[in-house]
Amino acid sequence: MLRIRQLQKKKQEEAEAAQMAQSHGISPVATNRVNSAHIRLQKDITELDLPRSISVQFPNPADISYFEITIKPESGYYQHGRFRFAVSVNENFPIDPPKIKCLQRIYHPNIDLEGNICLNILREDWSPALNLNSVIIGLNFLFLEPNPTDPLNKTAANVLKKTPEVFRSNVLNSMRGHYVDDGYYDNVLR
Amino acid sequence: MKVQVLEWNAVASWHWDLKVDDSGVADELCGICRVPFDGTCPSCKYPGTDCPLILGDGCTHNFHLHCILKWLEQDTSKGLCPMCRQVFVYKRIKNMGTSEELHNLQVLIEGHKAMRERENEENEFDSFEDDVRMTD
Amino acid sequence: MLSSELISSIIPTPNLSDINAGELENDISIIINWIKLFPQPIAEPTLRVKSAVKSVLKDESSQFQFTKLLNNSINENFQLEGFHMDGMNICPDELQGADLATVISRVINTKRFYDNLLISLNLNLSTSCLNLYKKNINKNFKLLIGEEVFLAKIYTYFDENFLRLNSFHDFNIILMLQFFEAIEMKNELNQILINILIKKIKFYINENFKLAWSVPILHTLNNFIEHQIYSNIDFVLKSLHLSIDMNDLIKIGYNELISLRINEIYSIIIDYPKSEISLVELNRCLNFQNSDNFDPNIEFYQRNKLVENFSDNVNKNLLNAGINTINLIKTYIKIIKSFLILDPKGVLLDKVIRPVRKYLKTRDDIINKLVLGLLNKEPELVELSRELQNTEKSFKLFKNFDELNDLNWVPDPIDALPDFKKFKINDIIQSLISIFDSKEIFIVEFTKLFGNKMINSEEDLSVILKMINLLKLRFGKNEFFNLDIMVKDFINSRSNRGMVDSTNLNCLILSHLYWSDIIETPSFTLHPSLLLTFQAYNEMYKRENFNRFLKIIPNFGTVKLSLEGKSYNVPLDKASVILMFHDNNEPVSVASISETLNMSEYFTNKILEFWVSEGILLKITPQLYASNE
Repeated sequence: MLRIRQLQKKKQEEAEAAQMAQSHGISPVATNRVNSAHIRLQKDITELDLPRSISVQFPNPADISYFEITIKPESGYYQHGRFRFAVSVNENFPIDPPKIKCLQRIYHPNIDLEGNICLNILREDWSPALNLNSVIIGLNFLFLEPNPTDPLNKTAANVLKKTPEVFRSNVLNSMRGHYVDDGYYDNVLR
Repeated sequence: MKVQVLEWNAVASWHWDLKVDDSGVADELCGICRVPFDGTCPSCKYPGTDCPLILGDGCTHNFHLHCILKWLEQDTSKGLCPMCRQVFVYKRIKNMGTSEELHNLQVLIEGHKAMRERENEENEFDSFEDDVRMTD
Repeated sequence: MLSSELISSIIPTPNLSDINAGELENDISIIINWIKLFPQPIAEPTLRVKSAVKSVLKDESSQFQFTKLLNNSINENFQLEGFHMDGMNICPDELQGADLATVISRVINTKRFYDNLLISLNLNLSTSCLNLYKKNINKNFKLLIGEEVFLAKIYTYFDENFLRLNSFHDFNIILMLQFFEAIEMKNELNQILINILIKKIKFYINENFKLAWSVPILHTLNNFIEHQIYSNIDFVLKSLHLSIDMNDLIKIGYNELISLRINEIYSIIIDYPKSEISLVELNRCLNFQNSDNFDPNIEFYQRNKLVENFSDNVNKNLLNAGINTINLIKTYIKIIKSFLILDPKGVLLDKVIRPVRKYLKTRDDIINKLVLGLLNKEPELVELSRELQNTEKSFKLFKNFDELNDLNWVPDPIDALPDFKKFKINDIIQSLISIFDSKEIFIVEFTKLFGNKMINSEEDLSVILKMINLLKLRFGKNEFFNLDIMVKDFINSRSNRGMVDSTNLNCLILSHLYWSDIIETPSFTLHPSLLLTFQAYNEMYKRENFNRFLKIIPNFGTVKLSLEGKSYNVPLDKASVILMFHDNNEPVSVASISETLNMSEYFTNKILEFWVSEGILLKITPQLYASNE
């Protein structure tokens, strides 16, 4: 892997040099990278084809690199909840995956209390061949089929594995904004 | 009657000769940047010679050379094709890409290969340890 | 009708003859007796009369009472029919018919009579009583002369003699002016004189300066005002102990000229640039400030009126379907240039140009015409291409569009006001292009136009490159990436020519994605012999460019043919059709050609007819053609 790192370092140095040049008003080339992410992102956004239960909002229409999605699962443990996520896409998209965080404190085996999400296609299984649509559909799937084998919230995962009925009532309580196992959660039913 | 063509000023368009996949249709878009192959990758200005393609050899997937380079520079790519997740191998074709670019590509692919082999060895070692433990 | 005569005949007003009782009886009767002489020629009052007057007027209240009675007596006298004085009858009706000199001399005599009356009586009336007396007697004079008719006469007199006033001798002008002063009508005279001089100036301006837009006139106007107006009026006014400021007169003149020009404004601007000097002078008139009497309201009114009048005309004459787009653009340019002369700050321009901009946007061919104009392909709009060549201006364009990307951007000059926005409208190209929210549509149009020129080899590459560079200066250099690719295709193809020397085929090789606005779906297939040539070329191309191949675009390009000893340069469809007759003396059917070339029969027929008209083919039947040998 050493040689890859060397290459990356070289690239990074080049990028820094370009940035320096740009800040001195010399080279316009560096803007291309921003554009490339932007062009691909635009395509992905126009190609979004989501079920009714998912909606997308752009708080600042001039900046498509940040937006929010709301998922209202139509079945499963999380039915009736409204789960909000922030999606941000960096300049290296689609080489880098989009970054998604849950904006609420929720009780979910694959989402920790800080809103970090454990979804393979957002991490180790990301590929530029995937698009925003596939990522959002994957996220939606987490609410239909929470996955206890790859947990971020281990307590919740254990409850789901051992006593699905307790898990169900924990989810309901958490969605109402009640305490579950000494931890408080955001009301997501409003 | 004799009709003799003295001179012909023609207009033609060039196209990449892309492999057709199993369904008989050639993918027209680069799987990474989603721009047609006959156009440029996002960081190039001129299509064609300046922005060559790379044809997958193990799989049927093609990419802009510059796009696949960017992908393979990621550790997380593990040297796999972004489309089918097979180990990415490319066809060596003359005049496709500068020697520096092709060299970089080769370095990346070999780096990933070395990484995979080391992981496999570790896994084998782990399983060897497991075996040892089981025999205890 | 209720007249003062009628009222006084019923209720006689008290007058001096009514003071005949009480302690003053004696004195008053003495005065009455003396007054009874009146209006006979005035004799020196006796000492007794004088002392009687003195005793009557001892205190303020009796003075006041006396004055009132005196006024009533005077009024009665004026009202008497056949009022006599100096043996002359001056009845008001008669006076109104008389000439001005007679009226004036009689009034002056009457006035003198009353003055003498007061003097001889030595009436030391208090100021307020004196004013009461004067006011009353002047009222009577005005009544006597019939004020309105008289003033009209005066007006006519001055009007007719205005230019001779300075050297006027056969009428005693001094006397007349004294008369006005005497009967306290100085203000009225002043008003008359001002009305006359305005009329004179207005007449002069309309007579001499209407439609005179191409020559400077202000100097002439100033001369006229100074030598024809000022010198005359100044003499009159000085006689009245009044004066007028030369600059006020000039302001009057300029205001009249402004009114004329406001009425003409639309035609003046259409006449631009011939009318340029009139716009420069109009600007001077609008900004002329006479020292003291400057009235910002007038300026505001004039500027408003100018905009209003021009906009009305624009609506009526310009913004309609009958005006072609080129003329619209030309007028648009004229409006910008001329209004910036009128008002360099651009405030007026901003107002008048808005509706035109809105309308221009609705014209389907506006972009095309602008693009042609900029590229000097439209002789009527040569001005646009001249503007484009003016690269000095271009640096500050698109500041609002491109500020971040434009490396040539420089800040506003430091002396610019904080709200400096002039650059938005003072540049014609910028102004026209900014009709649209984005410059994108222009870029697309330029790209199409140059693409067509290259694909049809209509323009020299160096000319195209020069134009593109100029456009980049205006629109930003990153905007033409598509065109840059097209140009590169063109240049690469040229250098390819040497590559294949075994054939007589030159090929322009396009990166098709970037030419999609130009290349169309082919409407036919090439003749097999041409295809063969192309395939050979394609093979060579593939050998040079691994993994790339070529597709012919049959709708473009030309073939040079030798036919019966003549040479023809024709498009590929015509060449393909005639090649069907190569080495073939048999008739060929339209259907078979149409089938071989995948060409519609209608189109095939048209091409066959072309070759018939050239004498190359013979039409045997409507379905059969053969070579004409």
